[in-house]
Amino acid sequence: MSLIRKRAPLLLLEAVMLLLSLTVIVPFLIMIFGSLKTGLEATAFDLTLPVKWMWQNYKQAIVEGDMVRSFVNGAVITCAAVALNIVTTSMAAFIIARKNTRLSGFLYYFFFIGMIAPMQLIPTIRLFQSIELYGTYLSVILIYCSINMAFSIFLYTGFIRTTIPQALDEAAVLEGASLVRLFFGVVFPLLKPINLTILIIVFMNIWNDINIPLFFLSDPDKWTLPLSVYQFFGMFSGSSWNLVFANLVLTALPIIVLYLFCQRYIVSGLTAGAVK
Amino acid sequence: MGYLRQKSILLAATVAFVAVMAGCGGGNAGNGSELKGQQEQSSGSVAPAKESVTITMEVGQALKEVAPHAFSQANIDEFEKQTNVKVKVIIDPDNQVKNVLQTKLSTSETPDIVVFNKVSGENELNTANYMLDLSGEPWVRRLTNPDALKAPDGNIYGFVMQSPLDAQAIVYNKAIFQELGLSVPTSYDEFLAVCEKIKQAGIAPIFAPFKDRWTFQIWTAGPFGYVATKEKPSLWADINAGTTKFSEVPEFEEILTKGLQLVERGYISPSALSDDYNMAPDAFMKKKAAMMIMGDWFVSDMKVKDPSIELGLFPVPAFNGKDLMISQSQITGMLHIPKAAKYPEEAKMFLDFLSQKEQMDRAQSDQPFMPSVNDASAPSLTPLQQEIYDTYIKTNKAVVEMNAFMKVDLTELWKYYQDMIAGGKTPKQVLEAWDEKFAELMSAANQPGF
Amino acid sequence: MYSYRLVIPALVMYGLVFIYPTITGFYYSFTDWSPINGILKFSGLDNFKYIFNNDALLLAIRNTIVYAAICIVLKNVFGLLLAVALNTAIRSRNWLRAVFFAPSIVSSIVIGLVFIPILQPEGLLNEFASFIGLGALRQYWLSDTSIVIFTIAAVSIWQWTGYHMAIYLAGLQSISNDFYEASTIDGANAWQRFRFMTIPLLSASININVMLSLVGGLRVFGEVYSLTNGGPGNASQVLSTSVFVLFGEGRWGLGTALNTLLFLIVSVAAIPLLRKMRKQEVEA
Repeated sequence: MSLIRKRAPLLLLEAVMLLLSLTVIVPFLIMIFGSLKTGLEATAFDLTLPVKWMWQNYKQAIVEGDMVRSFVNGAVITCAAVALNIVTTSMAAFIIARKNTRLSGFLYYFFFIGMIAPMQLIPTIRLFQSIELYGTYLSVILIYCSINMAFSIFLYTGFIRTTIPQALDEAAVLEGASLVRLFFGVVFPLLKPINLTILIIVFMNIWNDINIPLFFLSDPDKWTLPLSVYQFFGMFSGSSWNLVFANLVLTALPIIVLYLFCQRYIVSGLTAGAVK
Repeated sequence: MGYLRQKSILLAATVAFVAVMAGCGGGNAGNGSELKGQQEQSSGSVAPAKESVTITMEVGQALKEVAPHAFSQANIDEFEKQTNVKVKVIIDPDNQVKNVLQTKLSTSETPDIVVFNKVSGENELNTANYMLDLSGEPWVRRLTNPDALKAPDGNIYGFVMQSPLDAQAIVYNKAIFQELGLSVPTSYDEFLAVCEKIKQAGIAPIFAPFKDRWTFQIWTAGPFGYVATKEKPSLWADINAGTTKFSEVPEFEEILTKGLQLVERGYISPSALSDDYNMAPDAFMKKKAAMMIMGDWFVSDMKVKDPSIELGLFPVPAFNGKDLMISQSQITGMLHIPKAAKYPEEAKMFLDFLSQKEQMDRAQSDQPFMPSVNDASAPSLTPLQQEIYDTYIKTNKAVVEMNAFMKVDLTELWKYYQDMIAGGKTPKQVLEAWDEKFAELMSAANQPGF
Repeated sequence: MYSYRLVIPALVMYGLVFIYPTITGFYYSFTDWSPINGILKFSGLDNFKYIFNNDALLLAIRNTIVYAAICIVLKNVFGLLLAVALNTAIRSRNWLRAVFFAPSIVSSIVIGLVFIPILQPEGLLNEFASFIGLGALRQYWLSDTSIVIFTIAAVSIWQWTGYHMAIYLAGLQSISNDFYEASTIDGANAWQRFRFMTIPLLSASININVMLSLVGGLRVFGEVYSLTNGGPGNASQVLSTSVFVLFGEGRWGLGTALNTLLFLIVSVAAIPLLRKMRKQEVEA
């Protein structure tokens, strides 16, 4: 009796939540079904099953959109920028979190500006021209790394302050570890949850961006995956919506895989950084 | 037998002619040395690089569809074969292309060729400042109508393969007209009657994709052009000099009011502001709508999507008792060479190469067009193109749209049209608001008189 | 023992690639910078005066603030409710957490393509409303100028609620059960426990969520751009999209000035919150 009374509200809640999740699932289904329809059928943008399942749309999208090359470009740029971002910001955040001086306070606010100030395109282009890096992968990697620093330092600082005890540092230093050894040998491994959180969020920001390559990579052969979708807008008089959808599904796929891989860390990582 | 021989002589003559043409025109010669001579002659300096050079050609995605001729892959392949210069096309998303090009031009990180509509380029890319003056190029004297390519300062800043053959007009479904026993309206009153009959048959008279800002202006294009061509020939000049305001032209208000009436009478669905161009094929295929205020390109689009639907065109009937005219757009897809281009000589070679007869003719096979130079073959036009040419262009029933005369971006005006349809502005208020914005934009563009 | 050496790599890169162009950029706010003007003229506060006298831009400022306010409140309320619901022992919670988080990983192109058809007058949403007998609620979601900004906010809430849920969920999981047991003994009911135990213990996650939704809401671009591009007319224009429009018109000085104004608005709203957070962190 009491078991039923206890279970009943939970079952009701579960039913409500499953129903609510339809609001998320339906739009995704429109996209996935759309990617498997014929071009004509896909123009209706509705929630109907494909009359014929056109799996070859995916092959066509990959070949005609030159998606393999832009996938490699995107992967190289994104991975390099994310790695550089994580290493530099975690180090910086460690010091900002541990020092309780005016300077560290200033640095915290100084880095926060990156979260609220808009990027200035033309001055940035001029900068890279003057150091002769304009148009290179390196310039784009540096930009992505820098514009995402604010977010990373924001989360890292909170995480380190609230979850990594300072006693740990002292013990390590007593054992004769240098500062660099202390950070990379002791502290960094403990940051795993927040590392993965930042990894996925910064990865997602960079992976989905279309603006930076457009303005900073004048060679289209260096462009990243999201830009390849424009091949299918308006191609052959009028858009090939089925291929557009297939392209979008494929572009989102790496992030979904990465997300599923990191899911449990994301939750605990965000918690610890921000919360408590 | 005799016939065959005749044909082979003709062929030989053609080959010889082409060789001569190539020799004097330059650009498409069979070997590099002639090209080099040509280049040295014209510029006196840079010779094409001996090792392989890659020139870049940048364009917005939609423009490449609207003006595809310069992008003919067969031509590009042939150019690479003949000159060892590679051509790489950069396609920008439409919503970004203007910003990307402006930014690149002002930071001197330009492609070698910029493809942009002529007047839009003058207004938005500051053509005269950033692009090379090509008035001295060899193809200029072979243009059928060189004046059409001239910028307001008299220089020619770009080349284009095709002469305009488009028509902004009302597209209609011939089958629906036949079923309901309707004929093409020749005045505004007839047009209203036609709409009423279609509405009563349970079909939406006009599909209007007004979510896309550029669409309502098509209603105004032909009628405005008529006023400026037939009734007030100095109208655009006066407006650009600041001596006449848009709100001072009663015809403009009348034309807008008549367009708005179509919404008020329910001939255009009140949902029009939610509809975009991409939804039109569906509406026509399912016979949900009978007409659209659009142009020849939609007819071509539908030919691909559903060949069984027969569509026709008639001019926007905004007047009673006046000639009705179709409207033609400014020169689309003009190929400009930025001053900051890395390989300007190779880019010039490419333009000259495209202007030659073989390339002109070869590009016809993708999509027929009216050639811009006088020595290319006459095209075999599609029936629709032929109809436009015969009915309107040859008989002088075509006007050039207002956009081609403007020195500023018109997007803001189009937003006011949307406001008007949403009930936020009267036609008079639209014109007054635009007068204010127009003055602001003209003054930002350093135009005298503002 | 903590040396600022470790800050240097980040600081140098950030200073050079972000701060330096940003500062030179702000200078342009006070000029008539444009692709046409080769020589810049210092124009003082003219750009700012123009902004505060222009109806369309004032509407954009109003829209931005309305939009951000709605987003901050509803993303957090819904995010917290979802988190509480999925922090219970229901069986499908892992699947549901993943599903609700999923919208935040797709780009705004997807949002535009999928939602424009759904929000059409004859689209899925209106048809669904009629189907369940609420036909009276049918709207022109994207073309009625009086509701369009709310529609965009709703789509944004759809996209980002799961993201905020994840953060709240993490916060909830870090609250020890001991607290609840103690309060149950005290005889507090569920609402009282939520109000007087959970909420205060979640204050840090509330802070970060409010901060993220505040900054995201005021700087919104993608959702507006992909759903309406500021239309119909200028009805749903926000600050970032107006900046984009001004840049497209070649009025770069004015565009930069509007960007500067946006930066100031975000700063005024965010800095006090940031200060509060930092204080709490130091105390923790």
